[in-house]
This record gives sequence, C-alpha cells and structure tokens, in this order.
Amino acid sequence: MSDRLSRPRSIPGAALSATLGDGKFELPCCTSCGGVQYPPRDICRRCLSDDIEIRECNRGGRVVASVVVHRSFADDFEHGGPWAIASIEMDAGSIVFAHVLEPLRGGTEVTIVAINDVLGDGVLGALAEGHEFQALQDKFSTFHE
Amino acid sequence: MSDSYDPIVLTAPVTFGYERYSDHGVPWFTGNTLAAMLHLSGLDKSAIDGLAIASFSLPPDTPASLTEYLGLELRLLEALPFGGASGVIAARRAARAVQAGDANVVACIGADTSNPSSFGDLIANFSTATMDASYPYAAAGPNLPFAIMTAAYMERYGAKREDFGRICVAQRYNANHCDYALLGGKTLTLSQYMDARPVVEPLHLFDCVMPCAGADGFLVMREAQARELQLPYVYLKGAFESFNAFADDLVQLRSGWSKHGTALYEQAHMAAKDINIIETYDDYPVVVMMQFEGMQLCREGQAVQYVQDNELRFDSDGPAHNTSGGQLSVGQAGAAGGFLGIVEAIRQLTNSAGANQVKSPMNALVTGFGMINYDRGLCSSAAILSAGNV
Repeated sequence: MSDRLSRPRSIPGAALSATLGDGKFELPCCTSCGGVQYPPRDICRRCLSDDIEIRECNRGGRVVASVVVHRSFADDFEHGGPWAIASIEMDAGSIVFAHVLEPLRGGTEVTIVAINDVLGDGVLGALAEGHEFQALQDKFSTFHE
Repeated sequence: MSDSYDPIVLTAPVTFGYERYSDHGVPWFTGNTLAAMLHLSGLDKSAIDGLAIASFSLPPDTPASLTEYLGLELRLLEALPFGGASGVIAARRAARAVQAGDANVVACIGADTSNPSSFGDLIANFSTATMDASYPYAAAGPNLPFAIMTAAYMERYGAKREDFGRICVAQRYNANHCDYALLGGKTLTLSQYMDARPVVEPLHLFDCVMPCAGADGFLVMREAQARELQLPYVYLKGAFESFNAFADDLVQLRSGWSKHGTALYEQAHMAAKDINIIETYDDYPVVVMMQFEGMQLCREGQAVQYVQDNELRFDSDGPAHNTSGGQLSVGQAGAAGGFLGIVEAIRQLTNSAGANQVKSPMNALVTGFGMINYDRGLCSSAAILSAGNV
C-alpha cells in the first residue's frame, strides 16, 4: 500500500483519509455538539465550533440508494469495474458515499468500514449482512501493480 | 413578497458559438456574444455599463479581466458562480440594479469553452467536498449524485427508465427543429434511449449531457429604452434564488422551487396553468421532474404521470418544454447551460425563434439548478417571463 495520498484532498480530508488508510473507522466530530462532520471540514456545520476531532463513531447505517459506475473519469477506475457505490444515512447522523460489493436497495442495513482503494488511499466501504470485509477490500487489491 | 421588477425588461437574446470543442477562450465567447447583442439592439458598446458573467473556464482571468479585454467601462460587475442557476439569478440581480439606478444597461452572459480534457479537470477539482467524499468513489463526477437521486426517485415514486426517456426523446424532437442544437441533426427514439449503454446505472448515455463550448446572453434595461430602440422585449414578472434548501433531506428530490414556487406565482400574479413554455435546467431528466413538481405543474411524486400526459414538444397542445432541445440535445456549455433556458424563453416570447417557434406564447417559466457540491445541488432559481410589446 502507498504511504501517501494519491489524489488531491482538502487538509481535513487528507487527515481523515490517512486515518481510514490505517484501517481505523473514525470520522471528524464536533467536540462541542457531537455532530459528525462529513464531508470532512474544520468547522461544525451545526454550531460553528472549530474544535473538530477525528474519533470513533457508530458504524451503523442504512442505504439511501445505490448505483453502478460503468464510466469513470479517472484511469485507475477504468479497470476492475463496474463499481457499486451506495449513499448511506449513518446512525451517527450524516450522509456518506461508500464502496459496496453489489447494488443494495434503499433501507438495507449496513456496517461502515475503512478500506484502502486502488491507489492505497483510505476510503469508506459498507457491508450488508453476509458481505465479507475481505471481499470488498480484495476488489481493490487485485488491481495493485 | 418581493417587490415588482417593473419597468425592467429583458431583450436581445443571443446564443453564440456552440461547438463540441473550441480553441478560443471565454473572452472570445463573451465578446462575440456582446457584439451580437449590440448588433441586435443598435446600442453602442459605450452604452453597456453593467456586466453579469457566469463561467467555469474563465480562470486564470476574472470578470474584472474581461472589462479590460473587451474595452468596457462599467459601474456594475456581477460574478455568478452558480452554474445552472446563474441565468435567472443574473436577470434578477441585473433587473434590481437597473431598477435602482445603479446601471442603465446590463449585459448578462454565460460563456464557457471546452477542450478534450477540460470537463475531466473541472470535475476532479470541483469542490473540497467532491475531492474528499465523492471523487474517490469511482470518480464518476456529477453522474454519481445524479444517479443516486435518480435511483432514489425510481424507488420512492415508481418511475421507470421509459419515463425519463420520454423527456429526452421530446427534447430531441425540439432540437431537430433548432439550428444551434449540436445533436439536432440526429433523431432519438425511445428504443434507442432504452438500448443505450449504461454510464452510472440507472443513468444511461442519453440521460447525460454532452459537454461543449458556447455562450448565451441577453440585455437588461428599462422598458422606455427598449421602446425607444424599437426592440422586442419581455417582462420579468417574478424571480427567486435559493441556496442549500432542505439541507436535512437524506437525498435531494426537491429544492428551492418547493419552498419559493408559491411566492413566485403570487409575485407574477399567475398560476401554473398560465404557463405556455417551461424551460427547465436539464442536466439529467430526474431534475426536470423535480422542477415540474416544485413549480406545481404537478404534485410531488406525480411527474411520471405528467410526462405521460403531456407530449412536451414545441408544437404540442399543452405546455412546450425545453423548446431548443435543452442541454440534453443542444450540449452543456458549462455555465452557459444556466442561460440556455432563459435566452430561449426570451426568443420564444418575442417570436424570434426559428423552426421551433411556439405559437403565440404569453408566459414562460424558467428554472435553474446548479453546483453539485457533494451529494446535491446547492443553488436553485426560477423566473416567470411574459411577452412584452409583440
């Protein structure tokens, strides 16, 4: 795995990706009101506190909708697809996009995990019942040089 | 309710330079659009004292750079970084400025160029939220959030691919009668739509716009001046702009139209049934349905029935929709896509469209939508225009 971020990200985004890249499922949270801050940011969208900390939070969530990407704009996704992506309402209170093993219907319960993508960057994945973490991770590992 | 925009009018609609790729930059598109407006209006360049400009590909130049490049001396310069919502917002802000005496004549222009790598570059760095939370998920650009909206709409309201296809096929028919539509030379049947390759399922090829270069614009001035110049013009009967509406919705199936639509009709002293022409922002057909519902052409969740009941062609009995073919058949010239609808509406209401002219239209609804920051569009807008002196 790469030890650096291969895609440009914001400073809070890079910090989160590094954490996820180490296999830790943690997200930026406001220490004042507790709200999850996603997409990552350095000021709370609810209470405007700037005391934001990456920490563990509830891994549960439900699928809002899912899609299958056949046409990617980045070379590293051109092979190995199509890619199933779900929009997920987290129990911790935010909407995240995550890689999934297969398209999932709205309402499907999932567990959110940290995975390494094709470039080795830390990103979010989601597992429905019966889905193995390793199967999702392997979808990316296969394409490493 | 907002005050009336009287006695302000919109005139000199121009659509310029649509092509797939161009070696020219935004100043060239802006300057040519302005020159065409001056030609239509008979005004001298020195009469333009305001400019409202929307463009993604203008950097490293700025709206201020344009004043030097085109030799304009202005007292009002408005930048509109609102993508598909920018045309209506330009009209609204320019009208207020002229009404208040802060400018006499404002040129409102959306212009963008295109080359084989420009669209990919734009979406890779669109916002920090897309860089951190959308692009790493298979780098699908705006197709990802719009596929999610489409999938959610299909699950919630029972829409089928054919229902979205009806919108695309009707727009292609309109484009077949519009000389500047880049895809107007090709017909599209529902079976061709259904057989197209998947892009981001449930979206397939004909649900997505073709990025291109081009520009659209119009002039805003007082009615007395337009009369003096003997110009055909339209009234701005009402308009709103809205940002980050319904932020707590889990998925975006509505936007500012649902919040401000009623007030817009009140401001314009009319109802949805009075609208003859609807120009929606059509980067994807699901957004067209959201605009139909938000602007009360049908109830929430009923757009499937609406597109089955209405033919939506420029020569239909019912309301005409996206009479030029919209972005789905003209092409999406960046921020000019946010001006395509309002410029086409001005042309239609002044009876200056071509073979796609709607018969004697009185009122047009124009809606805008833009800036997919992460999972939803943050800007929405709408305006009602009425035929003026024709």
